[in-house]
Amino acid sequence: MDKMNDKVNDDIEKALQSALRREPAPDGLSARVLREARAYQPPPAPWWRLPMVRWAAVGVAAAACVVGAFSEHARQQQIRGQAARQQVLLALHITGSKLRIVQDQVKANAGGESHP
Amino acid sequence: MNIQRRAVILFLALISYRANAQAVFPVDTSRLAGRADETTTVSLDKNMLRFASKFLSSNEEDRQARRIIENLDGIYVRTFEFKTPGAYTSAELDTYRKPFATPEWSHIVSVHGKDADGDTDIYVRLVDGEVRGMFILSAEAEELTFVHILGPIKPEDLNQLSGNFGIPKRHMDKAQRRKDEQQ
Repeated sequence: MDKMNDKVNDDIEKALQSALRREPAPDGLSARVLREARAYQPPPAPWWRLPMVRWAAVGVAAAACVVGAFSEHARQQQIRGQAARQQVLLALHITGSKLRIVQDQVKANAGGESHP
Repeated sequence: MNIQRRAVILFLALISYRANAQAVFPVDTSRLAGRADETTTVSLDKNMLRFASKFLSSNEEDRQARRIIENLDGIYVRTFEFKTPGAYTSAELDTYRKPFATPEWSHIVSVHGKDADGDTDIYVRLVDGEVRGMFILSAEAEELTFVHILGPIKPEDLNQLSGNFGIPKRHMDKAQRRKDEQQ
């Protein structure tokens, strides 16, 4: 029984040695490999990964930020300006109404004096 | 030491701020604010007037306003409305009149009304024969108004002010309202 096992093992070993024996490379293999490597061209990158497109996207985003900030500033200025305008008109109305009262009183007094 | 120096700087800054506020508004009205039912404060320095004039439209009122404020250095208004009459004393009014008893100011109008119109004093600051500032103190039974205008004021500006602007909108005088109600 042991002898039979040894024979099978020997056969397997011989088959493996035969299959894995070193063989010389075919002629011109290295030259062919180098030629193919030089000729290899990677597949083109998708358009959105192109550097120019990336920079353009950065530029558009920066421009959008600047425009947004500018329009917000303009909106705030408009609100402040309208509030200031209202303040001016209010101040002039208060002043005007007091001057009007004085004018009316002076006129009334003058009228009273001229026609006692 | 550092904290002490900072405290001194802060104190000096506060004094300077108060002095500046006092300069643009010559009377201290802070005590009235506590008693008033409603307070209106308008403080527009030269920069604010320039800024506001850019937002005045082309309608008649706005054009007049632009013309009046274009040379002014500031407009400061304080109005205090009280729930009941007697919220201030005549002695108090005298203290408000005191800063104008100087050669710099001329007391041009002093009207003492018999009805609800109350008393009004107008002072002008004359420089080389030209009006360079005006202060109005209007004391009604339930309302005290202080107006301080800085800068050159022409007589035609006063006419315009008492003309179109003399018809009060938001701040319609109580006396006028009463008269309107009676009619």
